[in-house]
Amino acid sequence: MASTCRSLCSAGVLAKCFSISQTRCILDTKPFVRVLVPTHYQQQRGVRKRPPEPFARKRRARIQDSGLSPANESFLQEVIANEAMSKVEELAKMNCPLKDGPWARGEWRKGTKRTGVVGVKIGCVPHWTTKGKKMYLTMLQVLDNHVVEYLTPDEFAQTRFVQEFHPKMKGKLGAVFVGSMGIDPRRLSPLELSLFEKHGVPPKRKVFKFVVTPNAAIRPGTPLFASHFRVGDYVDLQAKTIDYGFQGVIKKHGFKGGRGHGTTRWFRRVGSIAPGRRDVIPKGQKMPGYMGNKWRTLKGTRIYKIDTKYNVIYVKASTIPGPLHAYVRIMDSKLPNRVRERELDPPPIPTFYPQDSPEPIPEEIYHPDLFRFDMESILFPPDDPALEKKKKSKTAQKK
Amino acid sequence: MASLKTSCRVLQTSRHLPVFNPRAFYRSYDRPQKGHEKVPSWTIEKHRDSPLNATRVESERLRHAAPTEFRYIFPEFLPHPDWKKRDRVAEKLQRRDMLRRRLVLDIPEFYVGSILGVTVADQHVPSKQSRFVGICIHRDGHGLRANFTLRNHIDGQGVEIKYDLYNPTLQNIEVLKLEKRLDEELFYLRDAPATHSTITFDRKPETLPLGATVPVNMKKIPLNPPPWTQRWEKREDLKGIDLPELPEKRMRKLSQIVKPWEKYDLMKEYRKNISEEEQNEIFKEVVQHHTRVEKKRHQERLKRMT
Amino acid sequence: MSAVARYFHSRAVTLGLCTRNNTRHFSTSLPLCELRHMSRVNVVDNSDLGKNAKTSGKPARIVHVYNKQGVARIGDKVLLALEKQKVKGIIVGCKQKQKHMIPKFDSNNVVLIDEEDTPMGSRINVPIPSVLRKKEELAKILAISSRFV
Repeated sequence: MASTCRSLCSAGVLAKCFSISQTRCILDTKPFVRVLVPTHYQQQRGVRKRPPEPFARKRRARIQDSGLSPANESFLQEVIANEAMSKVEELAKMNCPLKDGPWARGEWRKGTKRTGVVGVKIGCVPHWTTKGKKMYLTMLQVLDNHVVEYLTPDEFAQTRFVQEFHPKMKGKLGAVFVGSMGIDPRRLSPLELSLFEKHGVPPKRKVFKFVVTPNAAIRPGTPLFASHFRVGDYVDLQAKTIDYGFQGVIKKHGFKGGRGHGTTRWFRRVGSIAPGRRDVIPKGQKMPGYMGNKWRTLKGTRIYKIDTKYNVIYVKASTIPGPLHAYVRIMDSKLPNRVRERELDPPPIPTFYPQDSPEPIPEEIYHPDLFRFDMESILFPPDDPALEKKKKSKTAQKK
Repeated sequence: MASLKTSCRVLQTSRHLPVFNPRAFYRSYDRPQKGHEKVPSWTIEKHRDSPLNATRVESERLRHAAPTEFRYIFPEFLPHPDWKKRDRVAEKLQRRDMLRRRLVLDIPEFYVGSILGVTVADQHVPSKQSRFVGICIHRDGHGLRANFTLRNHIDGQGVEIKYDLYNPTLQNIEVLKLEKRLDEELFYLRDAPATHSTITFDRKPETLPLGATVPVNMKKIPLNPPPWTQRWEKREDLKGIDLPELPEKRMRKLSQIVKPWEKYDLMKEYRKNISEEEQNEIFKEVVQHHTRVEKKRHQERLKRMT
Repeated sequence: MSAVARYFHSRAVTLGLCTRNNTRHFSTSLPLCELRHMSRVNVVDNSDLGKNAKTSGKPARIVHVYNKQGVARIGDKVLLALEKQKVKGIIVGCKQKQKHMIPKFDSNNVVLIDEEDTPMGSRINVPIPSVLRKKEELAKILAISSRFV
C-alpha cells in the first residue's frame, strides 16, 4: 500500500483512489423561489429542509476509515500539505506584479460592485470610544480566502441562476466564487476537486458566490484578506441564523399565549387563524413551524478596526445572525447613503494587493474614534467658563 | 467511595495542546447538520494550526512558566469554561488588549472581600473625577468583559456599583485592604446589618509586605431576620453566614431541595475549570507582561532619581 | 440508570432525603425589581408628606409612570399615591440591576415634586446617582441633594 501511495502523488489521482460518492455542483447554487403575491409577505420554498434523523444522516467518508497504516497516513498528510503550500506559493508568484501578475484592474465607476469576503464569526468584545462610550464589536476572521473562479457576464448568463431567476443580470454582471478554509482533498469528490484544479487553487471547505460588475473582475487564485475593506467602511453581513428547530408560535412569532392558571387548556396556542365564519386562512398566517437556519442580512455595519496579522475585522454589531463560528459573507454595504459615500471615496478594486502599498502594512488599523488600549486613560477636559456662562443665560431665557 | 472510583474514568488530554479538545464526548453536539453554514469548533482550531492554512500565524514560544497563584490574581485571563463559547484567536486578541491596558493602568491584585477605592472620570463633576470606596462583593467576566462590584453603606443607604475592569474612564484602582473572605461572593451583605458593609471614604490604605500570604477574614456575618433577597439557608456552599433560627416548615422544604452529592461531582468540577496545561500557556503571556512592567517601573525610578 | 446514579439514589433513600423532587417543575426567573404600577417606594426627602407616609404604615405607591415603557428607571417622573393624595415624584434610586458605573441602591428611592417640578422637601439626606446631573430638568432636585455617588 505504501508504494502505491508514493506513486500516486497528485490530489486528483488520490481522489480516484478513494470512492467518494458525493457529486455536488458548487457553481449552480440552490436558488430561492420567489412567488410574487399581492400581499406584503414573500413565501420561500425549498430554502431549508429539516435535517434527517441521526441514523439516516449520510456521513462523509471518514479519512480514519481509509484503511491506511499510521505511517502511510502521516506520509499522505505531508504530501497533501506540501501540495497545498506549493499551490499557494505558485498563486502568490502569479499575482506578483513582477511575473504575469494579476489581471488588468478596472476603474471605479458609478454602480460598481466588487467581491465580498468570507469570514467566520469569532466572538463579541467590548470596546470604548475616545469619549468613553461603551460599544460591542464583533470579530470576523477572514480565514484563508482565495478566489476560486470568475465567470464573465456572458458565462454567468448561461447559469440557471441568471436565466431563470435573475434575467436582468444577463450580460451586465459577472460572478466571483470565493473559497474559505483549506480542506483535505480526500474528503471531496472528483467533480468538486476539478473545480479547484482548474485554476490551481488548493481545495476549499466552503465556496460562496458574489455578484460583481465586470470592472471588478478578479483573477482566480488571488488571495483575499481582511484589508480588502478599510476601517470606517460600511459592510453588509449575511449569515444563517441560529437553528431553533420546530418551534411554537410564542417563541417563533412572539404571540402572547394564554394565562398560566385559571384557563381551560389554553396556554401556548395560536388562537384564531381566520376572521369570521369564512374558511379562508390568509396567506402568511403565522403558525408553528421550523424556526431559524435562514439567510439573513445585517446592513450598514461599520468597521472600527482591522487586524492584518490575524485577518480579523472588528465590526460594530452585536446581533450578527448565526452562532459562534458561523460563516459570514461580508460585502460592501448596499444602503443608498453608503453607496453615495463610496462613490466619493472608492475602495481598492478589485481588491487590496499587499504589493501596492509602498510602506509595510501596520498590524492593526484603528478608527480614530476608537480607544486604543495603549492610550492614556480617558479624562474629560475642564469646563470652559465662557461656555458655562452661555448655558446659564440660555436656561434663564427658557424660564 | 470505592464504587465511585471504579465508575469514573480519567479523561486523556488531546494531542492538540494547548487547546483541550473534548471530541470523544461532545462530537454529537457540534457536528454540523445538513444546511448549517457553520464550522465545527475543533475544525477551526485545527485549520488555524494546520499547514493547509496559507495565512497561518506562528505563535511565539514563551519560555518562562507562570506561578500557580496567577490563576487567582488574574482570573479574567481564563476563558469561559464552556468550550462551545470559546475561540482561541478571540481570546488571544483580548488578552493582548488587556495587557496593553495593564501597562497604562496599574490594576492591582484584589479578591472578593477586599476594600477598594476607585477613581472614575465623571464629566458632570466640577473636578471631572469622582471616587467611590467599597468592599468587593463579586468578581465576574472573562477577558475584556471583566467586572467587579463594590458595596458601601452611605448615609443610611446601601449602594452597589459595578465597574468594568478595562474601562478607560477608570483612573485609579486602589486596594485599601487586601484580604479574602470565606466565600467567592458576598451578596448576603445585602441582608446583613449595615455595619458589615460600611466603609469610610477617607480610609487609609493598609499595605502587606511583599510575598506575604493574603489573609483570610474568618468573620461569620449574622443576617437580619427574614425576609431576605435570596434564600440563604439553601446555599450550603456559603461558609461566611451565621444563619439564625428559621421556622420548621422552611427547614423541612430545605431537605427536599438540598443536593448533598454535588460536592462529589467530579465531572461538574472538571467542566467548570480550564485544564492546567492551557492555563500555563495563557499565563506565560502574563509573565512576559510582568517583566515588561518591571522594566518600565525600573526606568521610571531611575528617571526620578536623576 | 447508571451505576453512579444508582449509588446516589440508594444513599439518598438511606438518609431519608427526597429521592425525586415532589415539587412541580416550572422555570422561574430572578426577581427583576422593576418599578411599575403599584410598586412601593421610599420617599427620601424631608417633606412632611413623605415622613407621614413612612410612619403611617401605608408606603407611597406608584400609580402612573410617565414614559412609554411603563417601567420607571432612575430619573423618570412618576405619579404617586400617598396619604390619600396624588403627588408627582422623581425616581432617585433603584433596586434594579443597573448598567456598569451606575449605582444600585438597596431601596427604591423617590423625591416628591409639585406641578412646577419644584421639590417639596428642602433636603435629601440620601446619596443620589451622579448620572442625574446631565438632566437639566432635575436641576432643582440636585440643588437640595447632600451627596452624589
